[in-house]
Amino acid sequence: MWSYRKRIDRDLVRWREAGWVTPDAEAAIRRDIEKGVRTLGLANSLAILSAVLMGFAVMSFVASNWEYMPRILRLGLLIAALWASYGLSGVLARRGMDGFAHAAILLGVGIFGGSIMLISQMYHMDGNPADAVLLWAGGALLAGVGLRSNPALAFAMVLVCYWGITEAFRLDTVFWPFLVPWALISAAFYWQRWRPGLHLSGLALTGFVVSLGYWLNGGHAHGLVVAGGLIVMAAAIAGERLKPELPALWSGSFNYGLVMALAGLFALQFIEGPELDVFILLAVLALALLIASIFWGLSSGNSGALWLGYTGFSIEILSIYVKTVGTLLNTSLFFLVAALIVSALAAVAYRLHARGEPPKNPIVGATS
Amino acid sequence: MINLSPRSWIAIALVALVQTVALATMVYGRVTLLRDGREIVAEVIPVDPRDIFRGDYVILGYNFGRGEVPVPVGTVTGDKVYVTIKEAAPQQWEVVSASSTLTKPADPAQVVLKGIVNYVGATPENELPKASIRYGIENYFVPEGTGLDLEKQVREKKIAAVLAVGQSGDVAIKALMVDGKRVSQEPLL
Repeated sequence: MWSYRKRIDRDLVRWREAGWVTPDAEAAIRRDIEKGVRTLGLANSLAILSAVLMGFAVMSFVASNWEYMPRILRLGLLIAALWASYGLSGVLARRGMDGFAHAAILLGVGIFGGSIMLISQMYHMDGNPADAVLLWAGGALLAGVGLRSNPALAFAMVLVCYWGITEAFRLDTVFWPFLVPWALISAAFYWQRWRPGLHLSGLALTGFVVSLGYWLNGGHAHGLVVAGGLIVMAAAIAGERLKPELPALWSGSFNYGLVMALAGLFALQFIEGPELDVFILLAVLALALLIASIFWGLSSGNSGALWLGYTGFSIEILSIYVKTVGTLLNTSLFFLVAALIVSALAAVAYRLHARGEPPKNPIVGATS
Repeated sequence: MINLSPRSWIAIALVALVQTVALATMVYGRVTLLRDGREIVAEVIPVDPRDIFRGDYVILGYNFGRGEVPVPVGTVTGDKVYVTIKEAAPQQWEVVSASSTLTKPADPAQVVLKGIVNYVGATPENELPKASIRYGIENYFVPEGTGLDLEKQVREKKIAAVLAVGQSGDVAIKALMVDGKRVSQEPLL
């Protein structure tokens, strides 16, 4: 809904400037969208929440009356509830109540997962719990693709992340198989052209890459993570030059690469406990990277990079302060360094200002 | 789900059907294992003698699982292992050997169980590493509210698990035995 509003916002400006839409008509359209966003958005969110609650209600009812029912009846109830929720989603979709239909699909996926657990309990199956989560994720992916339901796909991604994390800790090593369902669900997000889903994919992959630093090379592979992040950032900048028609993809990749590089640099500086000279080098590198991304965010209109830059800068300065205060460097030296960096930033900002306003919304007219 | 056509109903039915089949497969595998598997009775080592019934399930330990199973060199956590056991005394099953592949035991009295390596302990000189193995039979769910009652029985008496072992080494809990008496054995379906 939000992306639709953003897009129509851009389009309306373009249409009015082209003279296709009168200012009155534009205002009327905006009012209509505003109304739709408020009522439908809230109703759909509540429907999704109610689906979650309903799933819990069904499960706890069945679980609490467990021992009074023969196994076959319990199984029948679970499968009937499963079919009922998917059937309900069809009825709701037919009536044009899409949000509610998605909530019903999510309920079906929830009942599928609950059934897996209740059947395991019924037959005292105590295998690897992660396998059950993977089966559940498979069901969610199936529902997401088969019924084109974004909430179900997002839920599948959440389950797969949970699966990957528990398996990595259980096996105490990098869990490469995570990438297979990750890629499948990401492909589904792309197929659905659902941007929030792709962000979820980016976030999951970033987490995976950052975790490599803690698993590989005896837990000291953070340099690799930094390199990976820088490569992603470079690829994003190159991609923007080569294929400028996909701005959202490039700016998103740039930001996730930045997060990877920063997470790696952070671990190198503050977890690995390097020598003072190495630490100073790393800190200068991190600050340079952050200033560069603020600059990049301003000049390319990538507000995500801008905010990551600001936030990362604050965290970096604060962390250096905590590490150095009263120990290796003294506090005054720290403030001197910080002041020098901030003045450099100010100079950059001044230069940008002197060039005129930063480009406003350079992505107008591009399809995403 | 924007354009709802008759095809959407087919999609809905397919999704529900595939998920139903997945659940049915789970149940079918268990039912056939419980029905056709070889039945053995193994003594259970209470994991925590003070509080066996934690909530509504009991954690069961077996002397062929806990810590002392010799596994092939190079075995790591998460590996699948096939453990051959034999009944040394009534209900006392002991480990004969462990292998990473499934092999039929020469002695028909022996049973092969499939397990997953929980952790591998330190390897003593010139010996096989010792591991703790999970067979998927370590949790027994009891009906809500009956845990304390069973716990009282278990405190003084001997407890054993009735297990069903399949050809592939899969193993499932059929029932618990307290003092030679089966408790809460349910019909298969």
